[in-house]
Amino acid sequence: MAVSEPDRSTAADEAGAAAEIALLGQPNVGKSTVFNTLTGLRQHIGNWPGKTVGRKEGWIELEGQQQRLVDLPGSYSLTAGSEEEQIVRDYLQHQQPEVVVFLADAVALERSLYLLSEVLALHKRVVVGLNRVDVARRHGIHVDAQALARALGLPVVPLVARDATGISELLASVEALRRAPERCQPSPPQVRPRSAAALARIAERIRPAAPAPYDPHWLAQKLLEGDPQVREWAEAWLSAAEWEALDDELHRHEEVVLDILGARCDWVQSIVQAAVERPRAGQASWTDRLDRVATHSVGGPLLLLALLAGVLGLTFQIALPLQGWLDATVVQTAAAGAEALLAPAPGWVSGLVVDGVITGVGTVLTFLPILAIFFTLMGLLEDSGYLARVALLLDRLMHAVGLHGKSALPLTLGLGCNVVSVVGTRIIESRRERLLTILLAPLVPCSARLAILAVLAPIFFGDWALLATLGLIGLNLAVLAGLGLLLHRTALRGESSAFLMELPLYQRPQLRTTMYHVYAQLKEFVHKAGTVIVLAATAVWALSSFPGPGIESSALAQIGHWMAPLGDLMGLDWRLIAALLSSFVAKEVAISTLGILYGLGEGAQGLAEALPAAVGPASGLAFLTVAMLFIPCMATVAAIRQETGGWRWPAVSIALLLGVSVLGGIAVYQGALLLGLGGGA
Amino acid sequence: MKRFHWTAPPAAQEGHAIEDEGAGSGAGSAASHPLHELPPGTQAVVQGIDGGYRSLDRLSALGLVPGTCLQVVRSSRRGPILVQVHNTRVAVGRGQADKVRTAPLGEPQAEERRWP
Repeated sequence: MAVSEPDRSTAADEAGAAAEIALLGQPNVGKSTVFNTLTGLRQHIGNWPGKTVGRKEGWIELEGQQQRLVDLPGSYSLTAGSEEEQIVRDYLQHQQPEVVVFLADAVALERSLYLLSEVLALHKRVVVGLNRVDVARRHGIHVDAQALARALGLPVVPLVARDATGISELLASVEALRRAPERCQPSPPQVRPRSAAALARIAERIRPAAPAPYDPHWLAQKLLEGDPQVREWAEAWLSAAEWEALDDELHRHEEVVLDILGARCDWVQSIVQAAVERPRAGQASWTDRLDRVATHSVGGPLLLLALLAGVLGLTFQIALPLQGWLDATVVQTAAAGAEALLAPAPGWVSGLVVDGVITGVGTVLTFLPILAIFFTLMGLLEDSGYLARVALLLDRLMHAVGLHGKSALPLTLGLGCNVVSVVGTRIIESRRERLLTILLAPLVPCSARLAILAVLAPIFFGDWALLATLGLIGLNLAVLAGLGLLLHRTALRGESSAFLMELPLYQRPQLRTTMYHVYAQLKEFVHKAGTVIVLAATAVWALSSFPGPGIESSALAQIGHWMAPLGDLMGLDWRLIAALLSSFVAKEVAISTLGILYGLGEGAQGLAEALPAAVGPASGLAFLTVAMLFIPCMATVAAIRQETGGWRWPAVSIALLLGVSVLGGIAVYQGALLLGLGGGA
Repeated sequence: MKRFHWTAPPAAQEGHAIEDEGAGSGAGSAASHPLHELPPGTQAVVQGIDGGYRSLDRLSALGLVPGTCLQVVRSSRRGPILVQVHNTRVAVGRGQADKVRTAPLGEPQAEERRWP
């Protein structure tokens, strides 16, 4: 299990200025609190290369120097079961951080030590931050930090991260360890001799083929643990004959995995016995009392509904007026100013600036209040420990379509804005379930599409408007469930994560540390999604302005004409198609485009007379069906790109929804004709 | 896929202060129940885990290993089972709960029986 230490220190020395401090721990151990306390506003969020998992890093001051602090994703073990676990172990092996700050939970020390035993197989320069000693004391658990340090052979610093107690001691300990790395003398778990022999033999088989920095003993151990990623590696590194021989050997020693796990558990037990005293059983705590309601089969869902309504209400009560205000003052003022300023220039210049760039920047700006409030509320709920209960309550319902219990939260918020739900999927840990939620999120009818329904349904259907509206919303939800089922069974198959999760103790959420995180998330949104939104707004403006004059003779209209044969199947003429295409900027733009194309100027008043004359009810129904199911707006696309770290999933999302909406449009139009509704545009 | 039967070796079980006679007597004990059969309030010791590589990894990372004491907090006919283990709560889906063999330590606690 031991990894040869000399290699590592030389590599770290060579890395020189690139040396980093890493923060590592299980989920719910208070890692973000420690990270936010250490870095404050000096942090930013990105993605791990090629992964959907967010990467947080920031700067801390050590001995007068700025040092990079990397927040590793929370995981329970280091077998390649999840993306998080792969990231942590790849990072430890390839990056070889100068010091790892390992956060342990004094309340559930066993669980923390289990992860630590795996970390020690990969990295030895570890400082243990023993968090939540105060909560542990209240539960009647006393952890002797000195005894723990002796048993582990590592420095241990007791912490109460929530009020920053012990943080400076933690930094001092990191500094001390940088100066004297030999202070770490951990003794990781040892398997019994019989298994050790098998481990050694397997390590020898893989040693010649294993590239740096992988340690053959660690590889052997993971092979015996049935680690899928290491098995793939070994198969690629070895010749077919060698792999077969190795696989044979693995089969012969299958039972060694029990010994490896057993050795870890024994190690954990021996350390707990050396360091933990439990003089009395904990009394009924807040957690007991709150969970009586929060996980109750009737009370639980009621509380959840109330909280969900609260979050949705607060988000839009506060954010929508702010959004309107920002749009009316900042954006309109900027637009008017730019227009006045650019009056002497050719028309297209002012068009580019006002209708392209300023529209784009304005869109980004007006999303900020909604996102800020949503992130704050979610951060507080997560910090309090409640989000885990939500997952528990909704797991069965969401599981049916392959989603995670937590998917319900971002999806519900999609009723306001799909961007919020895509970005909000950050609360889902499993990559597969997160991707599935992201792909389904645009099917939740957002407020802009509800506005389209509200304006156009009465125009097309008169007295039947309410029924049509409800039917169209129901159709969206049905398609969401159906597509979820389909993807779950096909492209995004995979075990929907077996339900096994920790329900952390409740705690009073911390507004200050949550705000640091909100700030970092908004910064990232402006930086990444913002750029794409501005570019897309400019591109759509160009498409609808050139060659001109007017949108009627623009490239957008031309595309509408080209697509007429497809449009015929759905009963849509080129104007309706152009309106759909323009809704890519923002869904509600479809209405103003219709206004322009039916020769009424912007605004909906004239539409009430012009549209029914030009568009029959069957075409109207098909148009609204497509509009409701259509490709996500550019802000949502930008958010999907930001969250998935590339263009692949935004492309999948657009293709998927384009297919679904066209099929839906054809089916509805043909069906409506069969039922005798008038068609034709 | 390979299904293991992981039981605690005697040495590991002695390490625990299990205040009960005859509960930790290893695999095949007559008193062995899958986790989801235990009524709410029951205290039990994990006798063994029967599962593949992934289940072994997941369950042991959360501390559900042979020799561990736990208490069932909430259990109904459907949905995950809530257990108290190592001072925190863990929700165990029914599929996983089926893999955890337990030996109950006496009757459910009176205090906890009020759970609906």
